[in-house]
Amino acid sequence: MFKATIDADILKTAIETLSVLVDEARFRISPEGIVVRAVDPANVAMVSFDLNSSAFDEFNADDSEIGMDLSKINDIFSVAGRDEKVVMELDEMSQKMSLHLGGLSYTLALLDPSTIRAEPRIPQLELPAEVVLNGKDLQRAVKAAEKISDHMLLGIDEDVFYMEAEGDTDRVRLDMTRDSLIDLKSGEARSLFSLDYLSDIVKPASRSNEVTVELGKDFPVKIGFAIANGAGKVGYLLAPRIESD
Amino acid sequence: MGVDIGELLKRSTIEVSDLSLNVVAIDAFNTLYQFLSIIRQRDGTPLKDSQGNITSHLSGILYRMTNIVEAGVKPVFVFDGKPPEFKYSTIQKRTEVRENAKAKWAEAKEQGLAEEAYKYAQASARVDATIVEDSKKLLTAMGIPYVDAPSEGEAQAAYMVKKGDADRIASQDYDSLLFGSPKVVRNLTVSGKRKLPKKNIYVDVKPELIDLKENLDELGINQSQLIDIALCVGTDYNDGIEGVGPKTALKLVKEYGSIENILQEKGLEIENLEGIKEFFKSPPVTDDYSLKWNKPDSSAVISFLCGEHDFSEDRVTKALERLEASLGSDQSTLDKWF
Repeated sequence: MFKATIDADILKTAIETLSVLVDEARFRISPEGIVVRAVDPANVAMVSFDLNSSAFDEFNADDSEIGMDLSKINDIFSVAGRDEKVVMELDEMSQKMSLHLGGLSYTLALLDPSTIRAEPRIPQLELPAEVVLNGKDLQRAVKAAEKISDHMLLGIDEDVFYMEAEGDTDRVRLDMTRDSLIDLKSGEARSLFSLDYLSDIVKPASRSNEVTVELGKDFPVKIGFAIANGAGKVGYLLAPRIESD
Repeated sequence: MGVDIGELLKRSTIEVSDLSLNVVAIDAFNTLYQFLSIIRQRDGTPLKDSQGNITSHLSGILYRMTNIVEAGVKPVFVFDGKPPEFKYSTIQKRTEVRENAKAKWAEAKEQGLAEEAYKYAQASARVDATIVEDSKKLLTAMGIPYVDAPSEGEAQAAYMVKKGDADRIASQDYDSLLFGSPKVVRNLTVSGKRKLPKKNIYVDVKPELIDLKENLDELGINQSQLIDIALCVGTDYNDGIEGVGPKTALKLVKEYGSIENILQEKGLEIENLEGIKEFFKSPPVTDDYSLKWNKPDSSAVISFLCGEHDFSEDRVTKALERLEASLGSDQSTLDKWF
């Protein structure tokens, strides 16, 4: 059994955190809320997504797992107005989800979860350095880097968090000192990342005033932030590129 | 070719994509032979350039390897080195069969018997030194590594799997199981539509996975007894016991426990028995290899295939684009961090 009501806007932004990496996802539903763990087809980035039942106006659920085509959901939300509520109800027999939104009633065929790539294991990583900053600053640096390169360095140099990109001829760098950051835990950190992935990830992150970035040396980066006004969280893990000599 | 124990073995059908991120050691001679025998025109003539050089293997390496690399497989070719001495009689026999087939092919072609011609043409396929050299050249240009085995390629490949450097062996033969490879994939390089011999029927050939341990458990034998069964049936190194097929061999090995007891009971002998058994158990192998997948050197591939061997530049370029997208990227994957 699953029946829930939530702000369309909250759900829309929550789904977007998944759809930047995958087209389909397995949603694990329980009385506590909804959990998704997904990895992109190339195994370069994964997302872990937790949306607590408290994010919903109404939430009634047993344990179940459903598969959904995220692009279909995005299509539905593209017609949603501001401050609208969406009511979702699962019909287990027919494996369909009905969505009621501003007078519109959708019936969405679900995907067989077993046909969707299995949940990834989550690597246990000890990342030595951590910064907390406004998502907008992160996005600004990524956007600037995209203009000149397809990859970008994230690193920490004592009390400075830097984001740097180098193209064939040009270079761009954003230095952020402790006072422009919300928090900084200094450590040895310098890793190179693909901007294809980074720009997808910072898009939903840019809506958050507080994004945590955990880094190491030639290690994956963890990027985490809250969703649904604090009633949920999203964490990305992105594998680095290997710096060629 | 190879030991004929296939009917004893259980296998599961898989998709190429199930091997994504697997390092697959490809039995090079076996695979090149498959390319040479399958990639042919209707009357059995292999693909050739304007100079008359055979190019079936090059076509196979470029297009089929691109397909499996695109599916996420990391292939490494393992080439045979010097065959063990007791293989020479097999090699001689194969040469005879091939020469014979070649003559019959010419005959059938003359008489306009297309089916016959195709059959004999396939049987006359031969992996010679030029084909090996050209294949290595193309693989290097494509960024796919290869290993030169000191002796049998399958033995080296099995060693690489046991050592953990490779995940699977791809071969049509079952010999790598005798060398102790835990997992063998068949049909990897020949998957797709394939024509049934002598019939005008096409079947969809899918890769299949053979798990050594599962099969040993299922058959109720150990690794050494599997080798004994092979010796009864006949391997590349011995003729086998007359009239004994795989099922009888299994029964005999279970009844008598070992090949030695069977031979004693039947008053028979296998030449070089000790040597052959030892060869399967600890064949010559090498640690002298490096597995690195590089970005394809497109201009080298194009000048070799299109410049020297008349391939269509358009098609080669398209394959290279697909290859480039999958190979030698400096993006690491999360698997590395588990």
